[in-house]
Amino acid sequence: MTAHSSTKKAQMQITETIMVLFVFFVLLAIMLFFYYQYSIQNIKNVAEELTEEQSSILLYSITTIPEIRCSSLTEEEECLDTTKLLAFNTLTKSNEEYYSSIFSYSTITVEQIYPEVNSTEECTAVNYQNVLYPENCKYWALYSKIPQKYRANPVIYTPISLYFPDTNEYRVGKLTMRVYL
Amino acid sequence: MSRKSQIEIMGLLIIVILLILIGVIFVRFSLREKPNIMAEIRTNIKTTNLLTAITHTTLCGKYSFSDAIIHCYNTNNDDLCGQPSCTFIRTEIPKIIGLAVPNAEYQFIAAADTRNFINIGTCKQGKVADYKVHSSDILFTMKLRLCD
Repeated sequence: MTAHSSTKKAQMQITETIMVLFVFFVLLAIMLFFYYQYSIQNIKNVAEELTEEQSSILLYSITTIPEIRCSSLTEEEECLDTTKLLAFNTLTKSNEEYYSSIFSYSTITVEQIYPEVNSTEECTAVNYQNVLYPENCKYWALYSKIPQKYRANPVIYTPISLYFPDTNEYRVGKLTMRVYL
Repeated sequence: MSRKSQIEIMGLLIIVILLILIGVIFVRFSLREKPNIMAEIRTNIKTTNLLTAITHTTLCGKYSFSDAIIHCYNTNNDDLCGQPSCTFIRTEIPKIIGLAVPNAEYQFIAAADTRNFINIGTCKQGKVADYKVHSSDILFTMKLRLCD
């Protein structure tokens, strides 16, 4: 083999190696790009799942807060006191910072579902004064803070027992929380 | 020369096969469904809360739903609040559950000691919430099960 052909052969091999390395790095870059996209999406999904889990935990813990829970002679019951619900909206507005730190961006409502009522109105102090109460209203708005922009607003809910102290009766209600992500 | 290139190609092939195998195993583990514990917990809490709400609900201003169920057993469908108690329960329970958890499959059972006398719904899986009350030496148990 002449020196010239050896050199040529060596050059070809080096070129071949460089090309293989180039293709390898291009493929690696493409794989890393797709892996990065997948990871980002995964992190977003996990963040949404965690937010939904946190919201679920918050929803169920709402039923235990003394501001709205039934209680009689220091004994607590598994229900919501509807007279406390009327006051709670005012309470959250006057202590906005405190309740915002707990409920963040969300809307929380309680509605009575059984026995069914014909009304669709909000239960307020005005309806409460009426002799037809609670047949003249459907729901209590407990808390509301809506951001200007949000990606999603999943809804979570739980059935709940509602107690009406004026008539000493229990009804079936639904506690709903809409979370703004 | 030919043998050397053949060996090199074999080596490259082995590497490619290994990479594909690793990729397939990775994708398989990534796509495997993770158990959704939170959904199960949510259903369990809904079941418990709904059963509590049903059993406490007041009828005609003085009786609770659990009173109606006990009345149904003791009197064999005698009237309560102007309606046959057992018929009333069998009509109203599906209505309440339909309003509280729309489109959910459920099973509601009322038992006196170990004898089931009310059985509504077809859900057979999921946790059962129960509510017990003693009346006239009989242990009445009301059970509710919600399917996911």
